[in-house]
Amino acid sequence: MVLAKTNPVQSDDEQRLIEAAQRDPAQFAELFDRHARRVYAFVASRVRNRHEAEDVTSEVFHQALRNLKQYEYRGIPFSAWLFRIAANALAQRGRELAREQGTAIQTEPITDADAERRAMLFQLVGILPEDQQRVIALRYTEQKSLREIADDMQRSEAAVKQLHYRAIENLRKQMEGRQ
Amino acid sequence: MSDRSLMDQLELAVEAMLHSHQAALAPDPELGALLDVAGDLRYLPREQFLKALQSDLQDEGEAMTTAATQPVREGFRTITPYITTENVMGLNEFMKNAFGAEETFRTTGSGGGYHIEMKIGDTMLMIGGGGSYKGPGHPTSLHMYVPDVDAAFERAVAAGATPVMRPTDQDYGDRDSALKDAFGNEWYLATHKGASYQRPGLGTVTPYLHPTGAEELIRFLQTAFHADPYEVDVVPEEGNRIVHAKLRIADSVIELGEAHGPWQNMPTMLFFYVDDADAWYDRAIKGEAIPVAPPSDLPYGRCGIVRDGWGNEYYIATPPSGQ
Repeated sequence: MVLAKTNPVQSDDEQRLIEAAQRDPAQFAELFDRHARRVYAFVASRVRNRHEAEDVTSEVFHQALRNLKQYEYRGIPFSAWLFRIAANALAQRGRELAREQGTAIQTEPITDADAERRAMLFQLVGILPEDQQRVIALRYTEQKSLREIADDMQRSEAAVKQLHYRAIENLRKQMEGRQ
Repeated sequence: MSDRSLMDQLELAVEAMLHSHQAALAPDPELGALLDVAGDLRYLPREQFLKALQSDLQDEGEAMTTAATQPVREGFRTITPYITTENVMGLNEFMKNAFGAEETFRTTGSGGGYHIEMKIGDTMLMIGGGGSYKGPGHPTSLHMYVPDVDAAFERAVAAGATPVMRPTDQDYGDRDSALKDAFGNEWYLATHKGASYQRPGLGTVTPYLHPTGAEELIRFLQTAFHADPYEVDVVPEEGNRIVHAKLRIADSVIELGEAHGPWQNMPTMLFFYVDDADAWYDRAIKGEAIPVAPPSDLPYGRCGIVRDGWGNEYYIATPPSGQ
């Protein structure tokens, strides 16, 4: 996995990818791969659950693909353009929910910098040893208990606990080296 | 704190955090640093979700690409040169005799003149004028690939064209020539010395512009029509003068080179067939095109007209559905 730079300055390489996708939308997939975790991180802390986070993230990228020809660099990085689409989608969703349920959503909004940090963390998960990756995915995305993970992986609970600890410790060290 | 103790405390704190959906607080800084990471991991996306979304986007992108490359009107590319002249019947005869053009359609245009569609090789051309049409003529420059440039040159001269440059081998791999017809149009006949007599990526006939300020025109075409200048040849010792450029717009190509010598700006007309005339028109206006006529419904479809700063006019049309 290639770790994308998380600074907001647009590289020539990214600009070329954008222009290629503007000419040929079939090439959008690479832009998605670079930004998916960043957008998801931005969205996930502003909605109530994983299901909504996936819905909104999906909507953001479909909108981005359809409107890609309207994107022009002019000092606004592509990630900021995606965040703007995401913010609009979230605001629209918030209005709909408030209308349906009469309440506003209470969430834990994060800054763009936090979203960038989380995006980097999510990318780093992809370079952990495979068994550590699996434990992280099962523990955090499937929300399985240690026992359930141990059964899935046919390992002891103690071994899973150890793998989980090593994974978190690895990620902490990697993040420390990048901040 | 020992690793074992830290591991156990981490596990307890993560368990509590995942059930309470609240970030965990830890008095111990070592544990706190680990819990910061664990707290962020609550927002880790599912890889299956990312893969499925990427696959959906790939399908949608491919569908958009396919739709964009479908001809909007059968037989036509996005851009068709449109030549107008008072003596449209004379031009019609000349094109047939000189280049073997085939007339495919004829009608009376909205301005009272004839509108005739001609085919040369794989390229459609439109010519108009005559009748009660009293508008200005729009001659143009056209770059045409033929199997045998020497024979084609002689045939065009026999049909009444004036030689400007006899067939000559060029170092860029073409044998080129130039002619002028009696209606003011310039024809650059060429044979490419490669696997095919046509250069890859070019049709039989390509519009060729000679603006004063080629760089600015390229910039205009990029902003107004999302043109891709995929080949630009410059002369560094002449202040990077652009001698030749190819720009792709959708499935079509426009060539251009800085005006020089006998090759001067010749305001021309280009007819665009697009999937959404209003959207293309709006984008062109945002890209600093000069409005001539906003899109309106006409017998041949919905059409708007814009102009650039060099006098070139761009008809932007979407044919009626079913054509």
